[in-house]
Amino acid sequence: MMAANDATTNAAIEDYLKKLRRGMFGVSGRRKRDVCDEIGADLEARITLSQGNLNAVFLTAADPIALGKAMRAVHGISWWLRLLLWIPAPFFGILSFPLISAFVPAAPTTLFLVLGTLLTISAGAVGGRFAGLITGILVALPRIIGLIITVVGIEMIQELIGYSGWSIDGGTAFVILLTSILLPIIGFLVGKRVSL
Amino acid sequence: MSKKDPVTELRRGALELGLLAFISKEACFGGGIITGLAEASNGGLTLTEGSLYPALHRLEKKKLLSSEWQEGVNGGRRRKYYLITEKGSERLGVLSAAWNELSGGISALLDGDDE
Repeated sequence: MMAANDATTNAAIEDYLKKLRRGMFGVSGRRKRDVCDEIGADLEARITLSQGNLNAVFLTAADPIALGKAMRAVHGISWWLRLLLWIPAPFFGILSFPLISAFVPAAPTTLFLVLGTLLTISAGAVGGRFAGLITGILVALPRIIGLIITVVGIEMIQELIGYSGWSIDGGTAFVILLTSILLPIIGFLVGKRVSL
Repeated sequence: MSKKDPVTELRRGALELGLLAFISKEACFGGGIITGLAEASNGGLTLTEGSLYPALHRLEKKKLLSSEWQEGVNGGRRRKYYLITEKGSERLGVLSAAWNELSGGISALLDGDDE
């Protein structure tokens, strides 16, 4: 009979918990420790009950990575990771606004739009539907505000001095609006798919 | 998105009620709940860790369950025991009444089909 505190048993439990932690990527450290302590103790109890038969316990145990992801769906991601995703989002939104090239001619706006989209998808994939939705909104909002300011600004300049060197055509405005609306939807849908 | 098995869906709905009913009788830890619930329900409610732990944590988050850590036996790891809260007991009452009404109705319907 193998005792529950045997080194082999502990190593097997720790190996399982390591994979469980990997599945819970993004969850706060304190929460991860609690979940691992709980599941580790339950595994230990099962091993003791099965008289140290590790194979019997681990063959029937849940896939640790899938279990970790399910636990992440319940607890969500930590605040530091949320901030890490949310802080750059508005900057990507501003830098992906096509008319920014009027001020910074070399600005790769398409690249920043791609980065903003990737950030939104990552937020949805790691943090679930609300993290995806909020990140998408944070990227989209500066683009929509920029579009409104540009359209209204050009109108005002034209009215005041009768001439403006800047213009925005309907097609560009439509593309900016459409991509901005799609971003939060993409984030939400990616997150919904993952958390289900 | 995967299409869900209707039996799995039905079991998932009964899970909250089953867990609240079981834990209302005595505080228990995860591993004990899996074996205890299967025995108490004559094998009708068999759970895996994959469905148990997320369900327990969801119920705890909704404040229907509370938990406390207890020192492990013979120097083993400390265990997390779940207890039902007042809010959980109220929810159990509501769900039990709804379940009895529903299961009675469905049983009558199914028995009627047999005749």
